Amino acid sequence: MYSILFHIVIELMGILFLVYSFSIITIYLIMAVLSGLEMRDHLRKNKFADYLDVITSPVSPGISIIAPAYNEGMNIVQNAKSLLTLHYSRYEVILVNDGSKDDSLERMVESFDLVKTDYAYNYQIECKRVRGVYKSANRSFSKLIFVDKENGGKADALNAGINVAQNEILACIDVDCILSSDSLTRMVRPFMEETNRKVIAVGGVIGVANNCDVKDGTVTKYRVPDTLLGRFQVIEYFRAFLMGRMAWTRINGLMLISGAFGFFDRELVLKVGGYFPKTVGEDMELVVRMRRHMYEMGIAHKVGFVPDPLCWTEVPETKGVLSKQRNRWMRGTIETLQLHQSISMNPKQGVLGMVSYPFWSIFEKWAPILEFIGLIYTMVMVFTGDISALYFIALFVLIYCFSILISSFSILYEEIAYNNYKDKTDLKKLIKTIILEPFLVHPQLVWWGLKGHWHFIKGKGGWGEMIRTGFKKATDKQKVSTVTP
Amino acid sequence: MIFEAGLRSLKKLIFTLVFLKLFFSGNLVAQDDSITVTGLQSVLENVDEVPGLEFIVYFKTLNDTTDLTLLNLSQHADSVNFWFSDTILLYNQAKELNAGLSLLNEGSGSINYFLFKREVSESGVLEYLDNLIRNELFDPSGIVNNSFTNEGELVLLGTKTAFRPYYKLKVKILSDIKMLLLLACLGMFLIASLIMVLVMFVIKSKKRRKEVLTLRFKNLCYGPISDLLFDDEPERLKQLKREELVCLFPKGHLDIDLFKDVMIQEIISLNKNMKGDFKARLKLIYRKLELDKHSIKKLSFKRWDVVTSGIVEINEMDVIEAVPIVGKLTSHVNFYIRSNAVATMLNISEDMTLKVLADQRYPLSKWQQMKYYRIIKYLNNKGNVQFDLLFESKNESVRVFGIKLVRYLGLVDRLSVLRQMYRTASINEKIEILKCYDNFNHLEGLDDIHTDLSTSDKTLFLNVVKVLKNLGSEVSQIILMEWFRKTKDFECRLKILDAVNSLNPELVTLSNFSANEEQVNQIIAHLKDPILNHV
Repeated sequence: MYSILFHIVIELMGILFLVYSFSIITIYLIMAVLSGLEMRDHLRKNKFADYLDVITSPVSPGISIIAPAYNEGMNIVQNAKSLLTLHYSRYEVILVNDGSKDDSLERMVESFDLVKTDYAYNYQIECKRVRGVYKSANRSFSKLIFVDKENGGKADALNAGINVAQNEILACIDVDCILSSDSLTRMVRPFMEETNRKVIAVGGVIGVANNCDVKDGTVTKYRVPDTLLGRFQVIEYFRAFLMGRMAWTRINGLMLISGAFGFFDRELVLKVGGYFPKTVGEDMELVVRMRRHMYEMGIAHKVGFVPDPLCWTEVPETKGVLSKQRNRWMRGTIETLQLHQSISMNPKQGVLGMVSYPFWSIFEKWAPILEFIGLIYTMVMVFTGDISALYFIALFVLIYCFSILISSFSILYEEIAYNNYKDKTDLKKLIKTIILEPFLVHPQLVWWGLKGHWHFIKGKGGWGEMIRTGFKKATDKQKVSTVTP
Repeated sequence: MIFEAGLRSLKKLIFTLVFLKLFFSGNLVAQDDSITVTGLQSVLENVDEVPGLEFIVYFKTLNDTTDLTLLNLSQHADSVNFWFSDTILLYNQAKELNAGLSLLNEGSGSINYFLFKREVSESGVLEYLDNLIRNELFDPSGIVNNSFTNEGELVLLGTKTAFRPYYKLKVKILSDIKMLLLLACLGMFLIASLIMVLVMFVIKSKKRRKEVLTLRFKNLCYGPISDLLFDDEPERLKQLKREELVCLFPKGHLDIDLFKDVMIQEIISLNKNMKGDFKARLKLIYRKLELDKHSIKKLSFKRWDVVTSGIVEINEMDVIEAVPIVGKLTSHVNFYIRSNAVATMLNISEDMTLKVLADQRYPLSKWQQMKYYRIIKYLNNKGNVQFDLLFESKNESVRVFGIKLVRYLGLVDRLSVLRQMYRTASINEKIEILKCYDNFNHLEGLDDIHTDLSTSDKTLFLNVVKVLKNLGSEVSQIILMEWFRKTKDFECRLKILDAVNSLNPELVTLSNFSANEEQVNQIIAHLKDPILNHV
């Protein structure tokens, strides 16, 4: 009896892993095709767009750029100046000093003639206490608003900025991001173009700025980073942005917009209660909550994506920082999925509930766990001698080749669409990284993902009970006090 | 709720059924694979040791004096007649012993089966053997082999029998579901990836080839166009025949579509940057080379981007004869075709009534509005554009755009029309009308505006307050203060006090605010802050 059960379990697990691998391959191949079609359409659409018109037209929507900063004293002035020189007529820059312990405030006051105003601050979205709202006495900096508040984390700082924002579109960015001068004109296009559906948010591509030359806020010369981890992230960003998100945009299933560069409809953000500061995945959580609200209201909507290279950031190149980042991302994903568990397989939630949510659950959240179990399973099979060498080699070759293929596609997409990495040595380095990545980087990612799961279980950084229970409705966030008394 | 609960129950049921199905199918497969053992003795006689299976021979003597210790049997402690052997691993040994005992004729003997030291019946042994065979722990082929004691005979038989491997690879692969799935994966993966790689490389090489050709064609057409534009007299250009013009370009190139496209793009880009006579010359070159026919031909393509580029070319080069064809595309389902067709019609049809816009069935996006505004602004500078059809359109977005145009183009004479529209207007229209009032300090219609303070739409309310801040009367001040006391919304209160402060600052200072004193003080401080108000 024992023997039969053991064999059933082993057989079932073998089939499960095979089905899982089969599904991943199928889904990624579909995604490659979908993103290719979307990219083709985007490039065709770009031929007929006159972005210069957007800058000055009275029809163009106003934008409020919100950039939270914590201990960014070294670069904050330079970054603020860069944001103030973007090519757009109706916009404001709201820098939020999230209780920095350095001299960020003093530097800003000195550089921009900032004066503390009697701004009647409206806590329409809860956030930590705002110590002061500063504006410049110099008319040249009339677009700049500086909010000084107590430390509460990135999401809390963004909420503080949203409370001050006056324009219809919110551009939530990382203060250390390098934005192209035409980034605003290109990012508002999806908001302006759509006729039948309401565009609630638009995401953009984040480029890797490590080792690149930057002039006047734009990357002028692209070079791949020197380290393997840096180069891996270049490929990973291609895969995520040029393949993944483009494919999701094609079926209107996008549920993640990068927190470093995302545009949102202000009215809707206020309606759903802004960012949820008790999750580390605040960017994804907000998009899911906004979409969920639209489905609950029965309003046709869309989350857009602009694949043009408009924003660059420095990625971590050391294991320590990268592991923390990946751990955080994994916890963010788990928390968001946990908060919105009721939309899973809910036909009323459209593509979000029926496709995006299950995909994220199975292939993002559970991926490190299943990969780890798969590894143990294989080791047990090898140990008991029950594994067929032919089967094992075939499966290994399949997965390895597939990994290389998908990464190669993403590079090829970049080559066809933008061709930023023109140097052949850069291309060779990227190809070398593709070959090494499954052996040298991927196991570490799985490990960091597992640690993320473990930290979530332990309740590190999350908000225990609330996250486990989840929101019954998208607007439930407003009923929850997110500010610690 | 009930539906969701039902769905959850259904999901659970499906999961249970699937799980049971998997379990039972696994079980059935296991049953099908088993080999049933019949005739236990004959099997046991032909095999060596069976793991876990042992035999003990029992012998019951007829009289008490029989001593069987010489045969290595032991006497039972409770019964002097009952003798038993040690545990025997081979059935044949047990059988031999039993046969020997039977020859004594002093009692009856039996062979008993023990599985892992526990006595079992024959059926128990059979079941056990079945399990062993099924799990490949017991090789039944040994039954046959063991019957041959002579090694030489076995070899002889072996040479006569053709070699047949026990495991056939083909059969093994096809009978293994995992292997089948894996092969399916591999096959699909290889085919799909090959197709994708091919497609990608074809696209890349085509793109590269197109880029190279475009650059080459640009260089080829640049010289002749410059000569025609700057060197030749205007009259000479008019007199030139097509054949003469074609001769200026590399032979046969004007038959290539890509060359024509590059030529058109060059002409359009020059047209955008030039003025006066040069524009006319460029259009003349375009027509004389019959590039207009190439642009019109594009309108019949299936690809939306080709059609759109045709429309854009027609628009830029004022190909008026294409108006009937472009007119048919103004209600096209594709956004880009539709919006460019409308823009072209507005630009080249010389219809100042903006009928093509008023008849739009699809909602106007802001992108379209931006484009049309630029064209209408240009038309308005040229002549007398009639906007009335826009205000009468069945499409709300068109009416809203019409009202926006009043503000953008400074059409003060249309304010009376807007006032007539106001009462029956939708919220979006009202907001735009209010912006017009605010923009032009239009004092009429205050009563209607006051009425709208009771709206439930916050955006409309804030716009009403904003207009009153600029145009309000003494009555407005009183009404606003009443609303200030009624409303609890911070933003609304701030805007109301801002409006009142603008109309009558003393009223704000003298008013006796009892509730939410701190909030009011905060708002008043905000309103009096010079930086917030003037920078």
